[in-house]
Amino acid sequence: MPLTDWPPNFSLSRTTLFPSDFPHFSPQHCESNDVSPYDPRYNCIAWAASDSTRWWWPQSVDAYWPPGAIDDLSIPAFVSAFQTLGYVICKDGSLESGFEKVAIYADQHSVPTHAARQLPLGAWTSKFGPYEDLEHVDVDCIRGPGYGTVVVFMKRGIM
Amino acid sequence: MPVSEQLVYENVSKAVNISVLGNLLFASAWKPQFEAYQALQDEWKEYVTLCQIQLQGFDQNVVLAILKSAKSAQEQTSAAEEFAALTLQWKTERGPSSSPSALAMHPAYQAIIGMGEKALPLIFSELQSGVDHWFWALRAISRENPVPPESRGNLEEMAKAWLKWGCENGYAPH
Repeated sequence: MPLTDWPPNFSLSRTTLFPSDFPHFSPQHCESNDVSPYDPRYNCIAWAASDSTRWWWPQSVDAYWPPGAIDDLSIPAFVSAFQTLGYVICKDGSLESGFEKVAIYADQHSVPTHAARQLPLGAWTSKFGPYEDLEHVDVDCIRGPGYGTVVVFMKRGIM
Repeated sequence: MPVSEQLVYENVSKAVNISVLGNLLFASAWKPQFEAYQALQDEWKEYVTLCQIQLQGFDQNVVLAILKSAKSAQEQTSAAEEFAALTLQWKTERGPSSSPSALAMHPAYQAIIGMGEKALPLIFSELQSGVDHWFWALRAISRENPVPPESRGNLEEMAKAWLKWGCENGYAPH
């Protein structure tokens, strides 16, 4: 059931920049009241890659980046990171039977900012940096100054 | 004559409250020693009327060592308070970015780096209570990076490597 208020444990919603970073995101876009615990051990890219043990980011000695992936802060680098997991570029984020999808976001300068993962029923899940992850109904509701917009969709067969 | 650390702390316990020790010098005939610590005078003036401690039984060198210890303790308390405030600010304001550099560029995080070496024990204490992105600051302050490449991104393993380094270098308890 859609929410009428932010989950009380969604700490990002209480930060002062939240409304300006995510002007299109409202409680109605939350698919459920399930919010993970605040956890700085993994980030959005890791979460999209179904890894909740590491912080993924290129060009950083403090973060993991898949061996073989392009190691720079570019859209092709993020695409190559998901390619190491078997993803290929696809045209959109529609629900396709037998596939799981990820969406890569970038800002107006084409600098990658975020990734979300599609759930089996078509909703999406995002981890907000070190803050919580939660489900949202579509990829567009979190567009804005915080994460920019989706620039690439990728999919892989469900194993 | 050098004063042993044990002797200093034995005398501290005699003094009951370290905060009144400034008055020992203030009220004593050891004017040169008092002047050496005159920078602390303002902070200790308030204790003058409270001073009940007599000088008997104290060695001059011991008192001087105690005063140094008191000054150091005072600075550490101040650093801890500053660190706690900056940490809270960073954790609540750092936003949803996944970029390690964006996390580290927050003004409060930069201020912690600016605290320099005195921030290291405080960061290690934080790391012991729960992992977080302290590694940029640790590298910036120490100019070291004990994290093996295969542990990059795994905050638990990174914290373990840093805590080992902290213990070996006297910044973290064993």
